Amino acid sequence: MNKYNYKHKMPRPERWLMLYEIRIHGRGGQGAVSAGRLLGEAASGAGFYVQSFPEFGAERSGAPVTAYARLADEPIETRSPVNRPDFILIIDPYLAVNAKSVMGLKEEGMVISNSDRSPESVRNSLGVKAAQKVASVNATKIAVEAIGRNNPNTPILGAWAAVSRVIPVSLIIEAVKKSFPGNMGEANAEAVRRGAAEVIAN
Amino acid sequence: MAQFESVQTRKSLLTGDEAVAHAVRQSNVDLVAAYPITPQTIIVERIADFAASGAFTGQFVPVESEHSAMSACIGGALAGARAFTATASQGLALMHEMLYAASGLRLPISMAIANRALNSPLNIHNDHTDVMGSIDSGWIQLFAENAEEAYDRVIQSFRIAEAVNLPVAVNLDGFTLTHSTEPVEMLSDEAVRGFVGRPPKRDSLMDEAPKSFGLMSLPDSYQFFKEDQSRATTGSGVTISQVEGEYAKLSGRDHGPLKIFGSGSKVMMVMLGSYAGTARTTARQMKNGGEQVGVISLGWLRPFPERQFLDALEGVETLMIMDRSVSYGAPAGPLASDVMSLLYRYGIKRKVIAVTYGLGGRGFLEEDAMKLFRYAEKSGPSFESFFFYGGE
Repeated sequence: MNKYNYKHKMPRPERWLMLYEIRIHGRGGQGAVSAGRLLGEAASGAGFYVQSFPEFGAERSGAPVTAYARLADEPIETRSPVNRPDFILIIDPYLAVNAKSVMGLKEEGMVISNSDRSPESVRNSLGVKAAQKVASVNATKIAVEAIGRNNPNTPILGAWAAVSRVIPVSLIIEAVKKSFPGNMGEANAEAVRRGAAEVIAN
Repeated sequence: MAQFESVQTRKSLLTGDEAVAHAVRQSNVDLVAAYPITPQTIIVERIADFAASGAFTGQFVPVESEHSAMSACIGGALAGARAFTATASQGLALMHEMLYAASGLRLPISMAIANRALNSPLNIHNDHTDVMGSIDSGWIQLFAENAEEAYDRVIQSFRIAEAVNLPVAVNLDGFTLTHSTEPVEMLSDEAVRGFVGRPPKRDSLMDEAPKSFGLMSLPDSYQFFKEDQSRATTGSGVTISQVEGEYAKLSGRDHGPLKIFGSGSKVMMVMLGSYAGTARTTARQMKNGGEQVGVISLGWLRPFPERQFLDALEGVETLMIMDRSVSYGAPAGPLASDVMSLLYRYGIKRKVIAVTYGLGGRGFLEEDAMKLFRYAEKSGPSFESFFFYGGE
């Protein structure tokens, strides 16, 4: 089959009134897959059709993990992974220096990264184009202070909601509280709030 | 992993595995005997959770192998219980012997298969090698395209199995469905309980008068049992449609024997399972660009929906039949072979391109679907009619 090299340019009429595609990078154990699911849960509350799934079979503790989410105004049928994301969420700061993390980002896409560095510094190390936006937030510090352990996924979600304005931060908080009952829910809700408040966009 | 056990709410975000577990919890099931295996594991874990919390009131038997799982279901069903199990890949292979016992005994047992590749080489990812190895074991084989359809078909499976006295398997693609989170509109517990009811009374090991089951049959009678079983399976489509129709009144969702997109298009891609969604997404975009492409997605494989499939061929010139398993040395993949023998039997001529793809989790992107559609559109009188497609 591969010997037939037809030029296949994908026609892309305006089928979706609204479609957001999101890719999340983290390491096994940091909650990248949960982040995708929480994001879906929150966006579902805003009336979006949602889909989230991990890159299958990669979930080993410490290994790089990728998760995907789609939010749309009509049912989502495709099973393709997200190769042209509108948003890239980087949960592990050490993945924020790897240009592979931002592969395929749309022309006007946005990177939200866990980092103690400025957005400019993250932009330079990732080689993000001028038309694309970069935001950074020290999600590890927030997670350790608010939750008491290194689960930087929830502050990153707060930061994403705050800078992307796709859905309100309150829906992320609601999803987090539903997902973690009791004290853990409160702690994670605080982490989301701080992520939203402390994110710096550029 | 985050938990969304939204048992009370009606619209939930669930993985395919979780959706199946909820369907079982709601369906008045008496016995679940199962052994965990990737990517089915979460089905068993959730049912175990429900059993521990009291949400599932049947017997949960954590058996030591899949062979035992099916054996326990057979014993339970012979005693009149509504029985369910779930498995995948090597697990289905291990219970292979007992699959024939279940269908030959005409027992209404339901099973979810989280489709996965088989050894060797070791691979935990999705394809249809497992179910195709058991396709002739006498089970009704249904396929889901998404988590909600898996939920619906599992609920329906109990009613179908008990009406036609045949075991029913609901197939959902490993990982692509079992581990993806999607909106699932669950019905209320009461609605499902009312729909599935209690299993009708049948001859049972528990009857006052002693009975024997599964006796020996000699050459004078064996073939008649098999002929009877074959007729029952072929004829079960009527009952499946009735159950689906009744369920549609309850839920507004009627999945049917097959879904057609782009009816009458010159090129039709014939799909089984979740990648039909990817093919349809691609076909929709290509149609908007003026190309004549469509998708037939099969929801039933056994019984094969012959009439409905043939009806869908009006105006179609080329069928591209997509197999996710190999029948080594055969003229084509198992699904393509089914379709070709159906066409030949009814004297219907169409150009057929048999494609094997997506083995062991190999991805199938929108770009891949489009490349294949274009190949089917442009191939002239000489074309490759049977090949492996491996993406870029």
